Amino acid sequence: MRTRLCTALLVAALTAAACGSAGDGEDSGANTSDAVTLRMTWWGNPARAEATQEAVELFEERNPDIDVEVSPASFSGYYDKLNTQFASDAAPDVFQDDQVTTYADQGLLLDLGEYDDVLDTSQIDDGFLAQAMVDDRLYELPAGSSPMALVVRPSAFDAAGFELPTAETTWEEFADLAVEIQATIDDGGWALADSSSLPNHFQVFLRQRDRDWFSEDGSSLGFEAPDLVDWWTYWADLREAGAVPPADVTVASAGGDVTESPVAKNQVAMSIYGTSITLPNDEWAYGPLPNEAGNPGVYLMRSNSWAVNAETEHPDEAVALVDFLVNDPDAGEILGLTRGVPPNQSIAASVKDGLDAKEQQIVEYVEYLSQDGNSRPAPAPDPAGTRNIRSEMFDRYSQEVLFGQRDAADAAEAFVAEAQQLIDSGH
Amino acid sequence: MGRRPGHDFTRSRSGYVFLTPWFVGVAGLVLVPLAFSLYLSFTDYNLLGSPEWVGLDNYRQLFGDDDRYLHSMRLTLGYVVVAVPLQLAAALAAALLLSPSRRGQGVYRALFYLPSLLGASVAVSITWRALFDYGGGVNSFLATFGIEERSWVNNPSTVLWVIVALEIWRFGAPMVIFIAGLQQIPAEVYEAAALDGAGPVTTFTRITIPMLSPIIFFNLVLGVISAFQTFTPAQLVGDGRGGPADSTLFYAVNLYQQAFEYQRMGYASAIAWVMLAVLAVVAGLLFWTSRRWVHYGD
Repeated sequence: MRTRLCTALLVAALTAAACGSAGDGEDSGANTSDAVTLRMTWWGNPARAEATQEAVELFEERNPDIDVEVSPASFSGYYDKLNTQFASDAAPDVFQDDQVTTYADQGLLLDLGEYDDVLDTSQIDDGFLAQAMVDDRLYELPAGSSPMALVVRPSAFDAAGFELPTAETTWEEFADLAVEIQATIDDGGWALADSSSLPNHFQVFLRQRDRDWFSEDGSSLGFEAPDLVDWWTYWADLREAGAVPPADVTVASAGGDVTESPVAKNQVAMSIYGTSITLPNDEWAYGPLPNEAGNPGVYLMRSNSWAVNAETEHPDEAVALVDFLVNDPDAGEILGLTRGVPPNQSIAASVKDGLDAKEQQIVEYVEYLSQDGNSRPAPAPDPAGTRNIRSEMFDRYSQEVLFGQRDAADAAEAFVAEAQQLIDSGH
Repeated sequence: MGRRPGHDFTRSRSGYVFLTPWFVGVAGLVLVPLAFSLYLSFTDYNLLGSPEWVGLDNYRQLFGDDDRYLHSMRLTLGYVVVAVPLQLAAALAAALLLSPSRRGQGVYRALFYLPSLLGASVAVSITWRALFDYGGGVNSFLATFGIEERSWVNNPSTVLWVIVALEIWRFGAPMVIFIAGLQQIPAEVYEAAALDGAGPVTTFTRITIPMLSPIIFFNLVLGVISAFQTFTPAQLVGDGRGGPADSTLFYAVNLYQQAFEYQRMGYASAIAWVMLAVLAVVAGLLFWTSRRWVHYGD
């Protein structure tokens, strides 16, 4: 009997050892060498992933004692995973982010202002830095800019002799133009992409009315239901006129899947479009949005930012990596416009020559916006815990209007109420 | 005699030692998380901070102040009521065809069983979505009848039926069980019925169905429980967020959204526990009605 018990114990012990060793192996691998290991993640398309990996390799080459483990991700599920990692103390040291207030509020972000010996922000415009600050502390570093633009396919205009819209074109004239162009377009194509469910496009419209997504103190929405009704009605009229795609085409790119957008599929002649998003081919040109003259709603929106985990074991190295990605000329050249035009002005100027014609247009458009009167300062970062208002909630109500399940006035009232509830629950 | 208890004790002790890895697994991966989620359901927990006790607030909000939750409950109940009987009918029909022994019958059984192995997988759901979207096979097929192309998945009024179709297509698992059940029915019962002049319809309703009723009941309970938990097809054939316009907001999709998109882990835990309660009630009701229509024979 004793032998049997011993055998059993031995088996149990071996099993336990086998289970244990898998985990131990990883730790000891990192500890035996002197190398510092940083973990890093971001979302984006393959072009962005490739460029970022290449830049990281250069950083590792320059800093032989730092090892960076990268995990490129797609946008869907990115925050689900990141939040779960934070909850289990396994979040990466450096990560791409676009909701600074939410994380800063929970004390999860390293205060980058305390690392000004490692991090140089002198070449970055204050308007950018302001989009990464909470309570006057810098928690993130913007990685690029993505102001809204109007992308147009000039060939669709030339054929029928239409003039391209300008900043002086009013929204009414813009709608009329779309309807006129539609008459010259074959079945399966449309004059304009439907922006009714896209929160960043709606923001430009709001800002032209001196309103915004959120009030200045972040305690409420910065607009009222009638503003939203105007927006949804504008697009509903165009849909009725056949100048924008029907609902079941438009929702294919719901939730920000840019590969499914009408521009990516070459289905439209014009679209409001973020400048950090790659265009599918060379047939497109950038221009200003309607009604921008005098009281512009567009601003130099950061596309996303680099953040450092407050619990990182190697803050100096992590901040150095962020500094390298944003301020190093070689890194700037490798990264190009994969996160929009670089926030560092001297790098933005130096990369311009190496860009193709399409990318140069983006830089020129950003330069145009930087000139006086062509854009206005960015709003403060969105209040904590409100990300879903712009991402999920706005899309959901917009779809109910798109499919005619709810009239615009009713949906706008309900949206404003639900959004306010979420803002209030975030303290 | 005095040695027997000690002997047994040693024997069972080594048994328990062998059980240890399993027991550690059950405790660590099932019991502890289960208890923790029950605790979380009484808290407000956003994953980033620490849980705050709120008593019954989550449960109160579920039934008092959450239209989307009630919508997801109605949608899922409707789906269960429609999809499960249709799937069982398809499974029974296929089983009746494939039950008699014929040449090559095994090949057909394997082929019909295959979808239920693949059906819940991510790859099939994505393929299914592509089939019913613009440029998909279904549209090309319908175009031959002159039906205009449309997106069946990006339309709130049709996407649910696409998911129902996927569920029906996965009839293989209940079919295999039905085949086994059909082969248990003694041939002499059918012979006696034939001698008495019973036609195929009478034979089916008076003999096959009653004799098969324990199997039908078994498949029904399993089907209802799994249909209640439908997640993968809803997440991937729908737009992944319950859309378009909340038309694929299944119970489990709403749970996932509340947990991971809105980071309301406490609320999501409450949703999960209500699901357990609902499933228990539904299963209880099925067992209660089963006394009237399930015949176990003698």
